[in-house]
This record gives sequence, structure tokens and C-alpha cells, in this order.
Amino acid sequence: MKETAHLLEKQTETPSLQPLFSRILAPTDFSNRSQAALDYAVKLARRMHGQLTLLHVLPEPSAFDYTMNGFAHGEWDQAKEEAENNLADAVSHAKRTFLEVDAKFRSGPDLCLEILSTAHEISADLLVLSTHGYTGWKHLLFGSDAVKILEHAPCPILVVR
Amino acid sequence: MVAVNLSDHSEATARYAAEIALFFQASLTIVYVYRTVPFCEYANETTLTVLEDQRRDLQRMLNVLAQKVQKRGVICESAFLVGEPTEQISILARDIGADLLITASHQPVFLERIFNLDKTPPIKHQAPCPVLIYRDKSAAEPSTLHNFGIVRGTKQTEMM
Repeated sequence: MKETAHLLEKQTETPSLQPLFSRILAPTDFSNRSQAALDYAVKLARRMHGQLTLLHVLPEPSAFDYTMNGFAHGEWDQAKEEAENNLADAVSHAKRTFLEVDAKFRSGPDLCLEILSTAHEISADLLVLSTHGYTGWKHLLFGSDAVKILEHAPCPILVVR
Repeated sequence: MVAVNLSDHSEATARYAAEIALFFQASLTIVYVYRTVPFCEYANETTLTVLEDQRRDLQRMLNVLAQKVQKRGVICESAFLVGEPTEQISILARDIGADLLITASHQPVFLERIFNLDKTPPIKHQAPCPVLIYRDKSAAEPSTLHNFGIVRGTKQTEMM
């Protein structure tokens, strides 16, 4: 990844070719792995003179989160506010390198559905994801989201480790 | 580096990789990994001949693909490897210090997914560099997306 980042940085002259990615979507969960993918997406967007959209999807409470007292609305509002602040921070951080960055905040029960519908909505021509790093049984349990996105994405996907 | 399976979609994938290589003024290595056939499948000499012919045909197809990419003005070489695809691709990517690995994903049907025949997910976990999985926009079938509630009455864009 370091080498590619170097390659992205060292290219200063723009060839007469049409950039392949003019609208890049980078979903983030604010983890370290996500941050690495975001940094890569920012460099790529700058190199391609494209528009970068950061996306955060806050999982909505499901029936499993329901208690005898009902859903804890205060907690949900707090989580939403925290996520929105984190997203604003991520945008500010990205804008230090490249200005054409915006953000979308979504909440929903299905992470993949929200990512895919946003990709459609903005007509993304590249989706930048990070790997979760799960192997073995954890991959079987938690790796299905990436596979679902891979199968239904309307555009190429860049997976950054 | 672009990994192909020499199917009908491979030319489109190689073309896409060539565009990226041209943009970044990079060189391209097209790799195909020939899966080794277990010894028990060598029923007789005819089987061996058929398999050898198949191998030669695949090698020729890979060279033709590399030549097509070269005609687009990209410095391109081909690598015909033998073994387990995910492992061989990762090793070669490390050896040549690949900056980016490009591959394509066909939509695996249920049984293919169960038996792990689509190699794209393992490659993206083992590759030493970022992996770009090529999907042309027409590959996302509108009917499927409507079923998932993703397309909300929008017209599908043309293929890139």
C-alpha cells in the first residue's frame, strides 16, 4: 500500500487521458482499517480530480436490542450525534489533502443495502472499502457483508488493506 | 498486475487494467494460474494429451491477450503460473512488488459460493497490495437490484 500511495503522490503530470474515477464513494466505520482506506481514497480522488463522498452507516436498533423498557432513545440519539461528529472530523481530515470531499450519513438495519443504495444514488464509479481482516470462522460470520457488496455493487470496488 | 481466468470477461478486465496503467504510466503484468489436475484424474494417455492441449491453448490465449494490451501502448508482460490461484497470485504480486492487483468478479451462483469457486474474496484478503475488483455497471442486473430495493426508479447508466 505504501508503494501505491507513493505512486499516487509522485504522479504530478496529468496525462491527456480521461480519469476513470470521477465519483468515489468511501464508506467508513471510523476504525483504523477504515482510515487507511479513506487516506488512500483521498489520494486517489486528488489524483483523478474526482469527487469523494464519505459515508457512514449507523446500524439501526433491531428487535434483538429491544428490552422490557423498549428502545433506549437517549442512547440512539447519543450514538447518532457521536457518529455525525466523527464523520465531520473525517471530512475535515480529508479536506486537509483534497477539497472536493463531502459526506453522507445514513442509518438503517442493513449496512450493505445503505452502501449500495448510496453508490447508486451518487452514481459512484468506484467504491473504496477496507478489509475487516477476519479469517476462519469469523470470516464466515462477519465477512458476508463484503461479499454481498461485491456481488451487487454497481461499480468497481477497491479493497485496501 | 491483473489476474484473469481467460473467460469471456477477461478481455474487458484486461482493457480496464490497461486504461489504469496508461493513466498512471505504469507497466502491467497479466497473470493466469493454471490449476494443477490431481494425478487420479489422469485416467489414460488420452486424458494427458487433452490436458496438455488445453494448457497450451490457455497459454496461447494469455499471450494473445497480452499482445492486445501492448497494442494499447502499455508495457505489458504475461505470466502463466501453475498451482493454486489465490496463493500463486499473492506470491507473484509480492515478487514483482505490485502496487495494485486488478481482478474481476463474476456473480457466483449459490453452489459456487458454497464450494468457494469464486476466487475473488480470498484474493482480496491475501494480496499484499490494494485489490481493485472490476465490475462493469451493466453487471449489476436491474432486476436483482430492484429486488434488493436498491434501484428506486432510476435509469441504469451505460457501461463505462
